[in-house]
Amino acid sequence: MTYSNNNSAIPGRPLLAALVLLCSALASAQAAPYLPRSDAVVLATVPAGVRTAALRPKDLQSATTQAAADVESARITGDPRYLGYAQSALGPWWAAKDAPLPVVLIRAQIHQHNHLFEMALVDLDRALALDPRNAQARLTRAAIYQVQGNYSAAATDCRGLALLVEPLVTIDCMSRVSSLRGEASEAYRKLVLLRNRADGMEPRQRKEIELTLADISKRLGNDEAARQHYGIALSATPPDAYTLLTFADFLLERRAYSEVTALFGRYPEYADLLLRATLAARAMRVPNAGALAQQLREQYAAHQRRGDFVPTRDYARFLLDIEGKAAAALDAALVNWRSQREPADAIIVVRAAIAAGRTAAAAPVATFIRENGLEDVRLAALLAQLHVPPHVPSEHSAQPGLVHTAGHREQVSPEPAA
Amino acid sequence: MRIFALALLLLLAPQALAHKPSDSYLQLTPTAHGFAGEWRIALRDLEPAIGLDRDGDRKITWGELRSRHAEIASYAISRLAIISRDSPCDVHTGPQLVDDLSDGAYTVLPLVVTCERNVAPWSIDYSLLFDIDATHRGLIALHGAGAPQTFVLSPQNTHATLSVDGPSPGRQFITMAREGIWHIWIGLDHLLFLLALLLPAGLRSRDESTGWAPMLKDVVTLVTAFTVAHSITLSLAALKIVSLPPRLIETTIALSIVVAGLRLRYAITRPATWIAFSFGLIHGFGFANVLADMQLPSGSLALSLFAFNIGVELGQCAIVLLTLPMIRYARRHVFYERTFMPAAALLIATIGLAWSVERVVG
Repeated sequence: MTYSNNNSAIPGRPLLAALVLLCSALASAQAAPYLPRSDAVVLATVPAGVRTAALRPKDLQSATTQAAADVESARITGDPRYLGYAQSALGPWWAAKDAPLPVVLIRAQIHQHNHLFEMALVDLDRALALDPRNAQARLTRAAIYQVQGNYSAAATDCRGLALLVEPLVTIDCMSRVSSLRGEASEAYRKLVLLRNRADGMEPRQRKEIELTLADISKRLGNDEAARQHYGIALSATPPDAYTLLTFADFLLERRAYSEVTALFGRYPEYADLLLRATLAARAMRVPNAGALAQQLREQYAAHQRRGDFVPTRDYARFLLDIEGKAAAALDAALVNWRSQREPADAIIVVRAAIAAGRTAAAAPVATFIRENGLEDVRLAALLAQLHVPPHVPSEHSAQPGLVHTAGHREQVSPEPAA
Repeated sequence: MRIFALALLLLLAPQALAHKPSDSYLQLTPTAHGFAGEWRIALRDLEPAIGLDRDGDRKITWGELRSRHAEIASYAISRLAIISRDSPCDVHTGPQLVDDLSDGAYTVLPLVVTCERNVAPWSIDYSLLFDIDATHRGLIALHGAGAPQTFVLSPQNTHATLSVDGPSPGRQFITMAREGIWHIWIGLDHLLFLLALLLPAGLRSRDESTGWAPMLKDVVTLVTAFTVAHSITLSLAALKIVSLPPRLIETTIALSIVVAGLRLRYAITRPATWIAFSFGLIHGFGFANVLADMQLPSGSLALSLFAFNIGVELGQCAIVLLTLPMIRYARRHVFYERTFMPAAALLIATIGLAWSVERVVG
């Protein structure tokens, strides 16, 4: 369901929305340089741990240390500036074909963050050729294969970790992959079992595992379990961009709009939350929804002016749910689907295809889901609308009772419906 | 254990970042002496570059920003070079302002770019933040007559060549010709000088039957002399072969009106061809000054010069065509020669004198 559909049900609403949009557009058009009223006016906040060293490291050791810290900052804040800092810190090694292993590894991570998966894989293949027992390279490659939907390659890399890292890391890796290949319940059960036995887990490790469990629970339609896992993950460490945005997406799906707004209020510096906050504000018909949408619109416009903008699934959601441009959203979602095949990427393709009345365009996605046996209650509900038979739980599922059935469907809300 | 901790983080595939990477926005508009502009730089980018958050409370206040203006300005300007045909232009910043863009607050540095010889081609070398952020981009917009030209500068491409000429030669010709017409019409001093010369045209022959011929002969002689003279000096000045101080030119033009007025008063009957020519020379320098104030692309200077001159001639012709029938009608009456012309002559000379004094003193 799109917002324009909802709005048109009440005459006058579109006019009001148009007025609000027009006003916010005018307000932003009039935005001009100004002189702040007093010295005490706060203009910006600086993220924790912001880098101040502007000097380019001279030796390999300090360069890779600095670059690794920058990649970590990018992960926490979600601010791609840090990837630029990391690239600069690597200096001459960035472009070197025969760069040493630590550089190759960091370069792969920077490519991964920038969604240049093929380039990241080239570096990771090279890293593993240099050092076949390098756990970090194997783990990163497994993650990329998983995002690309290449589950057999991901599973091979996860298995390859077995003798290199502690069991929990290997099981986490394997659970993620197998949960996407028709063994969601079994994967969940195994991971919970091992998690309960482990003690003295490092906070970040705990968070990773809880996020895996939350994701599987969500796909199986077990919202209560998912909420608990998110709760543990969020309290394990200070927040990071990825955890916040997946949690916000979960809240949106559960229509917990005021919680999304509160989350955005608490962490306004996380740009990924703006889309979620805008969707929540529109669903609640809050007056500032138009202003938030306008800010988002300007951000995308500014990004496009740089000339290196690549459509993401968030951009497709923006086009579909905020701009009401179903055809453009479908195009963006399909471009994104070429490089990235997580359940969320599949969902936006199917939603946009339905909204645009081009259900045939979603056929490759439906095929992918069917062939891999990917379990996801949200996708199952959407695919039913495509008149594609939903995935029937395979014999791999150890606990068929936990797997979704048609009965779950009415609880499903793929996106906030106003 | 450290490697595990690091490796763990990588298990989760990072989501595409919604944040836009770092950009600065440089807007330029051509002026007579170079460019006027505004440069927007994100506070978020200045923080790692020069450190704005002095008290370390993770908040950048206007007070902290304001107190660092000199440092910000010199940091920014040292990373921007604007060049006008091989010689660097002078870049000055005014007092900074703040602008809230969709991705946060930016400082706005007003720029005044002065190029000693403000001639094409102009180019920009940009290196802001490239040393610390490989994904930073400089977005440059040059505002001219039409749609702005835009450039995206990156560490791989730090140079932009600006073309200010914009409009096609045909369009430029029309624009310049229009400027020429406009200038002679609003240039009261040229108009008065021309009128003082034209008023006695054809007065030598009292014989009505000779018709237009003597009058037209006088007018053509006068206008040709004036045109030839000012075309010569206009070209010399615009091509920078001869240059005179503007005040001298303006004062001499005013004096030329005095001379033309007095001449009209005391020696009515003969056309003042020599006055038209000699003072025409100085009027040409006056036109050249106007031309210099306009931003002319040096590549098409000759074309612009020619077009401007054509415009001046067209303007002159229009004045002649308007006044001639009136003069021809009026001179049938004794009043015209006896009263009107001497009065007009005195008036013109007085105005010329007033302007001369004003231009000498001012």
